Amino acid sequence: MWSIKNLMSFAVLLLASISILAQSGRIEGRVFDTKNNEPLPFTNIIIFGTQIGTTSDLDGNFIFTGIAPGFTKLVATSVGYEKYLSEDFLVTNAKTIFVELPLTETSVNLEEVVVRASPFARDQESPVSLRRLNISEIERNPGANRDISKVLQSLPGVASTPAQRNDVIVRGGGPSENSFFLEGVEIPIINHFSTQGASGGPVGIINVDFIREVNFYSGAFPAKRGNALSSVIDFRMVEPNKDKWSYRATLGATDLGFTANGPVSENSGLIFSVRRSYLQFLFDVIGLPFLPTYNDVQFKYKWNINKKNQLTLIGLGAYDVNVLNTSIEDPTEDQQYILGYLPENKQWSYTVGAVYKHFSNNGFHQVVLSRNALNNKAIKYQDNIEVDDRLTFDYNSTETENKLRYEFTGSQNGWNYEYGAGVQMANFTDNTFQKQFINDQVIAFNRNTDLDLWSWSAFGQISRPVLNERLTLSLGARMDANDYSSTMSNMFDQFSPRFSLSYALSEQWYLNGNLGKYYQRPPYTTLGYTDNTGAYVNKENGLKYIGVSHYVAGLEYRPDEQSKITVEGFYKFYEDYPFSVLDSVSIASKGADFGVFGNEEVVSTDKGQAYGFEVYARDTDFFGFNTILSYTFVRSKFEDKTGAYIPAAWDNKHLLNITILRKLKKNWNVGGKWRYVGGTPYTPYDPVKSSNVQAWNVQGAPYLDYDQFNTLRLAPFHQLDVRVDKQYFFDKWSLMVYLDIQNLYNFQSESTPIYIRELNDQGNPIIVNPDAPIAEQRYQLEEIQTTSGTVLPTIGIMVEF
Amino acid sequence: MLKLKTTALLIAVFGLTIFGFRTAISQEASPEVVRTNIEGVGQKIVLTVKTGQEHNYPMMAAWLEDMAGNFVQTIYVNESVAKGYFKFALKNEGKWEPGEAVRPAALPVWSHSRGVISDDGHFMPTKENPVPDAFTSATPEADFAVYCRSDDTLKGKYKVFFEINQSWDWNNFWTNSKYPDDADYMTSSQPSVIYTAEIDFDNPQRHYILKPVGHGHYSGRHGQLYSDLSTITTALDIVDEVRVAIE
Repeated sequence: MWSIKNLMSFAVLLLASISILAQSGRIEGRVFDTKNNEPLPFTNIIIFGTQIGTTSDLDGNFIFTGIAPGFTKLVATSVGYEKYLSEDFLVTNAKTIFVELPLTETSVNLEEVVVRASPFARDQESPVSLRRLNISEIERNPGANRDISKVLQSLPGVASTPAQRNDVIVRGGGPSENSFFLEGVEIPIINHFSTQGASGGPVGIINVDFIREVNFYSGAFPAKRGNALSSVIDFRMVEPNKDKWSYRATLGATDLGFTANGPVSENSGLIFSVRRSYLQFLFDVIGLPFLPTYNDVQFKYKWNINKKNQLTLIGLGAYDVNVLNTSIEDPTEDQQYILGYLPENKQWSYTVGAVYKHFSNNGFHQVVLSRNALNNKAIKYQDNIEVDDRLTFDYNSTETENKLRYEFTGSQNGWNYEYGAGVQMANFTDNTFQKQFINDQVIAFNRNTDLDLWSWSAFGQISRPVLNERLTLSLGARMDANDYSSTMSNMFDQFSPRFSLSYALSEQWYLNGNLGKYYQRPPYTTLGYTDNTGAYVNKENGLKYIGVSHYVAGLEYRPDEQSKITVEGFYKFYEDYPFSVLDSVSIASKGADFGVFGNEEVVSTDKGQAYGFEVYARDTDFFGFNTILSYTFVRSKFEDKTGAYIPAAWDNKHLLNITILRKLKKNWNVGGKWRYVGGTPYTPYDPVKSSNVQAWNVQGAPYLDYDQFNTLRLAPFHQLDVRVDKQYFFDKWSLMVYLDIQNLYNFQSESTPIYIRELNDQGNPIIVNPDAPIAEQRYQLEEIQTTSGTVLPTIGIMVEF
Repeated sequence: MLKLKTTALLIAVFGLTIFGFRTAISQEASPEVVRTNIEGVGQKIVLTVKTGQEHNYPMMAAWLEDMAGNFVQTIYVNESVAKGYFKFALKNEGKWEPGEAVRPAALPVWSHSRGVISDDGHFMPTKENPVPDAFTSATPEADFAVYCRSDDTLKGKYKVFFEINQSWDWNNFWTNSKYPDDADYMTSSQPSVIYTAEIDFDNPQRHYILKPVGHGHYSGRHGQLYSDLSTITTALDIVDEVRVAIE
């Protein structure tokens, strides 16, 4: 019998011995005018960095054959249009890749401007604070394991956490301050086991197989994208195959996946994927105290009805279950702690959307109809003994949104403009039983909330290059409102203007800036929070939209087509931020824990500020290395109960990311990412309150001492992730294998010290004063210094055929 | 409250929308008739071309040769080739404009068989020295039939040739990077395909089906016919059928 080691060695030798010389990659595509979808015949298209070219036919279609497999991109040039550089895409021998090349008409005689095919496209509306990620950067990001949410954490201005969380913390703003769009459809949930009311979770839902590009706005938000304070993230999906079905099976870091991609008819195609985690088996074997399972499904259907009409349907769904591993014998201190407070959790969510696009002569109309829902259930018994009187938390909440949005995007006489409006109908339910320890007594809350909410919005933006395209100006505005209360129903109270400019100092230097005011509706968990009488206490408290003003200025240097250096300064001023009545702190510092965010009584009184600067240097060919360096200095502070500014939980001060990727011969790729994250403020636990037997029993964990809110700071953490990719391209199929090692040098990052109950010889918690009345009894607590961090190797295998 | 029923309803609406749109889209095309050399005094030759799934604005010519391989006459050639004048020939002030262009890779077998040398030393017609209008038409976009008179009454056996070529049809052999410095090859992609049939004016069959017998030179340097069609793929599907009849 062969051992596994022998089998693997044989497989490696076999693969290594196969001569992969075939270059039969095929690319098909279409070149068209962005404005009206008219085909652009006789456009010259070349493979980026080569002289291999073709031209489009009279219908704008083009073909490349005999292309070497691997990631590549195309450059399209057509007289009268701006030169276009496509996103990266993966060419294999096994299937044809379809690429759409939208070209934008230029108002300037080409003789007068130097047009470069740069990987760093500029945007009139967002000349600052916009980063684009393409698929090769996502696929090969060291440490990210093909999880887009983790890739986002390596962008400038974005903080990452040592814990296995995907919270997007942008320029000092919390994880609840972002909005996400997939092909124009808003997707509130992008992570499994998502924190309700915020955005984070441990694993991303979006399957990388679908993604061709991610636009990340940390400021200068387009007017058509609302309900965000810190970032807007716009995911763009690949086009379905047009010639035949192809399939990809993936064994990832934590899941198994299958993707199918192919034509449905002559003019339509479908991409469909399912994934299921195998973590629960792994965690059980290694004895972790919780056993999560996640599943997701995703699809895109694109129908090119005719030259002037398109319909795209998308869907994204997840079903997650987390159970406790109570069968662990003699749990460690860490295991005891987690088993003590973590509830069992079931969560499902979905988004389905239809995007109808109609092209006219001067632009296109877009109607987006979508529905998304989240159901979140959690249950916790004291010490995990499932009897009724030990039930401390039984949470069952749903959020449902139905949205309709119309947009028109056009251009005429050198003006580019967008306008539109939207309406949204939402429902929030919360049926919760929860014991809480408030004012030295246990109070049982029963909430039965059923809140309907209508929201509406209008927006417009106009942009124009002037001074022979040396200066580009963009002015936009947006208004939002809902029928929650009179404090939110007047659109003019949420008037949200924005202005951008970009001035080309020379062919290489640009001066950019943006001013904008943005609003975000507080989470449904806050809107729908009721007291025991069923009253919407936050409505009575005059809850408002959260507002933030952004001031961004930057200098951009593009020494050549491969490189770019930017320096951006930013200042954000928050107002009307919800302030927790119970804890007397801003909720701006919350949202990065598992569970629910915002379900408490608040008042819209808090102010905050975040400021700093970012340095971003990118060179796609720095002595053969694709190099990204980003440094962010960021401060984030919010008012405490006295009105003094104190650090928020996202006050990292220093964020540094260095990513280096190298493409080697024979389809080998290597990369490394080193990140340094400044220490975050934290709040120590209150040992006195926590030791109270009744208090501990209802929460299963210690209580934070809000009188010392964010007064302490963890040590900084840093981590090196490395990754090696190897691709094998056969005639009928392709094999992609990668090894990803997170935290290569096993850095141990400091975590918040915790308290656990000391146990006696029988394994029961020790009560120091058992003879006292129950309200005065106290557990004997032990403070535990904790660290996190481990070397985490992963092997991923993808087979495409 | 909107629950799962609403979801089901929305999905149903999406589905109905798709199928509703689908049923609204269908179109039929009628074969086009082209009459050439109407002043000829010989027999009527009817060339019928049924386009294939890869048909994409091809250039084409049909002609007669005697059994010794001597050029007899053109039956049909599309207008842009006949005049050396193309709709997308020149870039001028930011736009493509019609203009003169020489594309020797387009139909090299026909042009060399025809044997008319231009002032520049190539075999393609030019604006100054075109194929007469009587043998041309704008490129038909679908099935078409050419009704052509032979110049004189013909007797005995002849060969009918049909040559067709279109740009943009790269395949795994004729790749974009095969001859990167050859500008003429870049306009041709897969080389022209030649179909032929032997016809007998004395004992004409009801009709003759033309068979593919080879391809032209990839950049049109000469008029040799290459009989190996193993590297030609989609170019064989530009037309489904070419047939000729004598009336």
